[in-house]
Amino acid sequence: MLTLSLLMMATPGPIWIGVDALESDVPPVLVERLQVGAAEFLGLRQAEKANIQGWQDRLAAVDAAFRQGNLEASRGAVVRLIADLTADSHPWLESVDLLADALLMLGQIQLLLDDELGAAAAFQSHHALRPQSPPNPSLYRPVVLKAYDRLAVTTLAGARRSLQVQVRPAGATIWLDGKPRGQAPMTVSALLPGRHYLRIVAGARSVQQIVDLGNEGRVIGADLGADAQTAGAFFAAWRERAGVERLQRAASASGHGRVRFAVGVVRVKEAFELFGLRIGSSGQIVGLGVVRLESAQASLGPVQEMLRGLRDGSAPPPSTSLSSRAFGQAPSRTKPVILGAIASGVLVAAAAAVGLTLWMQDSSGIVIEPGGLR
Amino acid sequence: MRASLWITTLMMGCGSAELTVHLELDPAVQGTVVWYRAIVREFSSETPRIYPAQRVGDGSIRIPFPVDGSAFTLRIDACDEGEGCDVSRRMAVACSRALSVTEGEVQAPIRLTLIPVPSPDPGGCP
Repeated sequence: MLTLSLLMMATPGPIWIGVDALESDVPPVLVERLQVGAAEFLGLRQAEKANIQGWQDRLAAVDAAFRQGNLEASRGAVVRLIADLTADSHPWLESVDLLADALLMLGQIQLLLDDELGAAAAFQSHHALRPQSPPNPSLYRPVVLKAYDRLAVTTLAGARRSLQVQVRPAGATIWLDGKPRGQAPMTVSALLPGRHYLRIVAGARSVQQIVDLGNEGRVIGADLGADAQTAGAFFAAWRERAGVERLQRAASASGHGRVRFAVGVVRVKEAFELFGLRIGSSGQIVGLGVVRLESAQASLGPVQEMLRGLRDGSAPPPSTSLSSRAFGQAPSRTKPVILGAIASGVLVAAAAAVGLTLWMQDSSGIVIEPGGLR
Repeated sequence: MRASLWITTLMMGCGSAELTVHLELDPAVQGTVVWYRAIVREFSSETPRIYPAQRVGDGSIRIPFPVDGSAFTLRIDACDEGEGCDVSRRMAVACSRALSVTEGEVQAPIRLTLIPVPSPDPGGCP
């Protein structure tokens, strides 16, 4: 019994490749939401959701202390909050938004404490993070608005930096300051000097880094590891939508005999279809399911059900029609009309032969000539 | 009747309609294009037909026309050295106007110029 238990524990479970978009019109925000939701559901990481409510409460307490005139205490509290929010592990949209609010709070406290340099640093940090979101005039007094404009907006006017991100695997999603910016390799230009919060995601892997853009731009390189590389190659093959055989070849080449599962997302008008597949140890697709989300904000409950089936091996085998939707079809060079003509009998045999000859010459279609690229 | 229908269809299917697309590179494109990939979107289909990436060095490719008479657009993605060419790593893109081809007619060649994709790449055509 003990031996059996040990054997069961030693048996590796299927490997989660990840979830990714199969077309460019799938919003990165949805992919990110699915990546986070899947990773948490599958227990691949502890739910690292930031304690958003706790941080909001702390910022509210700072605001209350500030309004009571307790400047030193509120400064100390907001500085500690900013330190927590700038930890490498929290570059999420909500936390970066909260960080921006905390920096504005710190700036106005420093201003009232006659620490103009401190106010300038805080305001400039805020401006670098959220250049399109100056302080709200209904929340901040005119003296703060004017100081923000003078110390941050005017000071940083014309100063722009670029951030070049090179990642293995190519195609990893780049998040900067809590917002998706595109796929690596990429250069994000027109950034303001200051601290920026970079997050790179490929499949189930991600790395975080604080990037300090000072006097010049930066080049950041990251390697998300062999598993992520596999995921990148796998999804690149899937995006071709060139038929199930093409994908199985890619899966077989990269799988090293491991059972794996993954989810690909396509857009269908305003809704989204999520195709989940399970790959057997030989690279064959042994399970295939589909879930429809009516919007990017729809409940992920059905997705969890599909993930459970893919993980546990209870997903149904792929049907022909669903395979076609999920993986596309290899471009066919066969013209059914020719087959029909041959089958029609002696009368059309001659015409079929002529047609077949023309077809063999392959003289119909779009010819793409790339000579101008060389 | 059935036989004549087959003959007619056969002749249409085997017509010599052809459209040659010459690809050119805008000088603003940085780097060397190694891969290119054709995407055909028929009106009003939601899903484009994406053809496998091809190496520039392998020369021209031929892809089938969409359904006879229906309008379509042609998009070419271009990528540098790496694993194929998908939307996540393309460096340039070229897009045609709406095209419509009738079987049996040879079309005048068109030229498509690959231009750099903005960063971040919003996908699709510029």
